[in-house]
Formats: sequence, structure tokens, C-alpha cells
Amino acid sequence: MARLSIDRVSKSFGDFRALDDVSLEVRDGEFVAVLGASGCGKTTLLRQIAGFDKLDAGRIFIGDSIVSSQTRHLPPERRRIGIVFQSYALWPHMTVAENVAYGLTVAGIKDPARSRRVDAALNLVELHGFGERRPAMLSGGQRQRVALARCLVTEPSLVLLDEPLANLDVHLRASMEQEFADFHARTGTTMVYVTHDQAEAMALADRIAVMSKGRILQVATPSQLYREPADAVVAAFIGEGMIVPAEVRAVKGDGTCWASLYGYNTRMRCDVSQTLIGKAQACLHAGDLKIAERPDSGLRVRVDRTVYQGGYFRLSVPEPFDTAPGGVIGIDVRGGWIIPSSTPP
Amino acid sequence: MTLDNYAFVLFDHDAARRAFRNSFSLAATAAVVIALIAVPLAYFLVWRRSRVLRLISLVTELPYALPGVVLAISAILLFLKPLPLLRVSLYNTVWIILFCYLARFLALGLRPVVSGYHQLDRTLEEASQIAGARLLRRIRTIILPLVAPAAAAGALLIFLTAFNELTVSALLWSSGAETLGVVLFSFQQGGDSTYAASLATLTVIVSIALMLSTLLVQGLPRGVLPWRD
Repeated sequence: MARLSIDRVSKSFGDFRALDDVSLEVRDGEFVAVLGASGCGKTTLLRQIAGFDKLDAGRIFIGDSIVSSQTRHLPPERRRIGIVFQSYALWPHMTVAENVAYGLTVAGIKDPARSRRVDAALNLVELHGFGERRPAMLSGGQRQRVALARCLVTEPSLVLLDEPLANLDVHLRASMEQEFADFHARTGTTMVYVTHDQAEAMALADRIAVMSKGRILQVATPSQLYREPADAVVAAFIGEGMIVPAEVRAVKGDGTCWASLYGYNTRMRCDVSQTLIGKAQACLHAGDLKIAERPDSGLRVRVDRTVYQGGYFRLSVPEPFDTAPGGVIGIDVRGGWIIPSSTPP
Repeated sequence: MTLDNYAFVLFDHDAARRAFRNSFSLAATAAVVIALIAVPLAYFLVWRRSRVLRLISLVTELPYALPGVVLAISAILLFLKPLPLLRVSLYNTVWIILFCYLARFLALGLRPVVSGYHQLDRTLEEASQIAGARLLRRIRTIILPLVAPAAAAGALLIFLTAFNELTVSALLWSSGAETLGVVLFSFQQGGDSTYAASLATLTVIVSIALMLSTLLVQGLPRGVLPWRD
């Protein structure tokens, strides 16, 4: 177990800046998810931590020792970490037991101890009795568990997971998610989990680092990320947040303020240190809105489109809201968050 | 109808018997050596993207593209003088033929292995790297078993091509170091068409037998050997 510290790391491929001044602290035993759309640099970051690529600037520490800097590069085979790959990367010419035993063999651990640890690792992922099978004979979820067992058998100080559930179907995902969570709780291993799926990240991680265009935008707990996004990109990305222009009228200093949305006055949440009065951006989630009981009250909007989503409807309203007759409803805003870094539009 | 001609080239004619042995060992040695060279060479070519090696790999195509006679003459010019320091001359021995076979067929053996690497998921190697394995162990335990079918297919192609080869050895053979192509050609030139025909038939039978035997082997990659798909 070890902490991971990424200190102002940059990496470019040609003109493309894949990592731009990225810093991240992962505490010992913490489960951190790196969340971002594809191409945001999250896999590049993972490969930097693993040591597959050299960095252009910055430093990476695992535990207390520098593993990457401009002058020092510890090769991956000496970093003592584990990775679960998206493609699982099980060796097809070896049995399940041989796959799991490989890291121990490399470390020079001989047989009674080695096969005992292999058995223990397979038991841990509930695959006892599968040792003699080939990876090709296993289902996707079983392969995933073999990959996990192989990664854990050497007891690495840090485990990196690269979209480990992306290739599984929806039902399997939920149960594997639970297994990862249980596993982390049991072993207390430091884990960095790269994913583009925010539901996965929210369900598993102690903290989430949101990445976009090679930068880390915000590192926060899942609920903080949802309720108090640091900027408009995070707000729009997490939980389908809606960004609307707002005007802050009065700040109360207790984390709430009075704001006006298209002329509709409501109380919203804001940063405790928020002092700025005037134009800002607000982040609304579906849960913050409620159709007003009296159609002439609330924020009056015309419904543009109605899509049934199973159990609820999604209403699209054009912006700016206009109050032309025909399908006009009132919406009460019962929450929302003033984005602290928002520049007036 | 008689089988006497077959018996003659198989048992009675010394040069023909030697040629079978020589061609077989030359082709087999070239096939095995090239397969062993191709695996690490292709590793650096495909996965490490070494620039120097890419240039070299372009050069390996040259002996295969040039006519065999040109390769043979350049080998003669190269080895006419004894090797520096060793003071041994390869000229007039079977080794100069082996050298030319290695040079000529490297391209043939390298190509299937290169495409084998392209089809292989690099994370398989990275997973073993993360498990703590250094380069030599990774090549031995992970990469070699996975590209072995491609290397074997390449080796087979080399063997079949080298076994009947004429243009290179025509200029390089010496007494005791004849190849099948050379003996066959001299039978034909000397008017012994019946011997030439039976020798040729025998080489064709060996080739076909080898090709058919590959159909029984599971696990060879598809699309490398032209008669398998």
C-alpha cells in the first residue's frame, strides 16, 4: 500500500498536449476514479503512472520514492504496481493458474508457497476450481476476475484499473462493480480507476478526478462533484447538469444566495466564500426542478419537445424561455448551484 | 515403365544423394535460424518502432528482390579473401551458400512474424512487464509462444523455397556442396532428362508432403501460407 503523488506532469505527442500540468494526490488506501470522455488524457495519465511512457515535465511519486521525473524513469517492471487492463490481457497460451502464478514465478517464489497464493487469489475472486482452464474457455466476467486475481496475487502497493468494466454487459457490470468495492474494502489497496462512465465512478470511488483536454478540472467526492461542480465543464458533464445564466442578487454567507433565473427569483446554493454579486452561471439538475402546481406561477416556459424515458418524461424547453401561449407550464426551481469559477457570459 | 531412374538418383548417384542431404540441411538451417532472428528483430521493428531497424529491414528486402545471381556474385566478391582475423575462407564451402540463403530469405521469414506482431495485443507484453518480467523473460515466456505459429509458418515458406533453390547456388556450389537445383540442372544439361525428371518429381513430392502436413497442424496463423486460408 502506498500513496501516489502526481506533481505537475505534462506530456505531449507531437503538437498534441495529452497531459497539461496535471497534479493529483491519492492517499494511502484511497480509491480514486479518473473520469473523462475518451481522448481526455486519462489513459495517458495511467500509462505515466505505470511507467510505459516517459514524461515531459513534472514528477510522480509512489510511496516516498520518485518513479518518474525528467531525469529518472523507473521501468514498469520495477514499480511494483498492478494493472487490470481493459482487454484483460490474459495470456492465451497459459492456463488460468499459470496466468495468476506468473508474477510470483518472476519474483522467484517457489512452489508450495506459490500454488498456495495462487489458490488464495482464485478463491478471493470466487474462481476456485478454474485453475486448469484456458482464458478462452471463460466468460467475460470470469476473465475479468482472473485479471483481477493476477494483478492482486503479488500484493502490489498500488493497483491501476483501466476501464475494467467497459467490455462487460450491463448486468455483469453491476455485480463486478460490487466486487471491486468489496475487494477494496477488504484489502485497503490504493486504487486508481480510469473510466468514462460516471455512474461507475460515482458508485466506487472515494474521490473522483474529472479530466478534460489533458487537465484535471476538479477532484472531489462524488456528492460534492454532483452538488458543487467547480466549473461549467464539470457541471455539464456530471449528472447531465444544465447550465443556465443567473444573476446573483444577494449572498448570505452561509452557502446560499438569492439569484434570478430569467427574472424568476429563487434561493440557490453557492460557495461559502462567494462574494460576487451579478451575472454568473448556475447548474441545475432534474431533481432541482419541479412542475409548479399553479400553471401561472414559477418560471414560465413553453414545452418544445416531450420524450418518454420510462417512468418519467424529458421535457425540452427552448432558450431563452418564451411565454408564448400553447403548452406553457410553470417550473419551480428548488435548488441549483452557482458555479464559483463562472465568468459572466 | 520403370522406377530405375528414381532408384538411381536416390541410391546410386553420389552427387544426387549428397544434394538431397545438403539441400535439406541448408533449407532447414536457414529456416530455423531466420525464424529465431525474426522474432526479436520484429519485436523491435513493430513494437519499439526503432528507426535504425526500419532502415535495416528495408535493406533485408534487397537480397530477396535482386536476382539470385547478383547476390551470389556479391557473396563471392565478399568471401573470396579469407575472413579477417579468423583466416578461414567461406569460399568454395557449403557455408557461403548458407550465408546467401540467410540473406536472401530473411525477408521471407520476417514478414509473417511482423504481421504476427501486428495482430498481437501489446497489452499482453505490458501485463508481463507489470508483473515484473524483464525483456528477455518477456520474449521467452510471453512473446515467443504467441508469435511462434507465425515464425513457424515463415520457416516453412523458407524451407520450401530454399529446398529447390537454383539461382544462388548455381554460382556457389563446389564439389561436395551441391544442392538439388544444381544437380537437377546438370542432369538436364548433360542430356539425362529422365534422371532430371525423377529428381524433380522427388523434390515436388517432398514439397507437397510438407504442405499437406501443415494442414494437419492446428494453430498456424491464417493468411500467411498461400495454400491455407
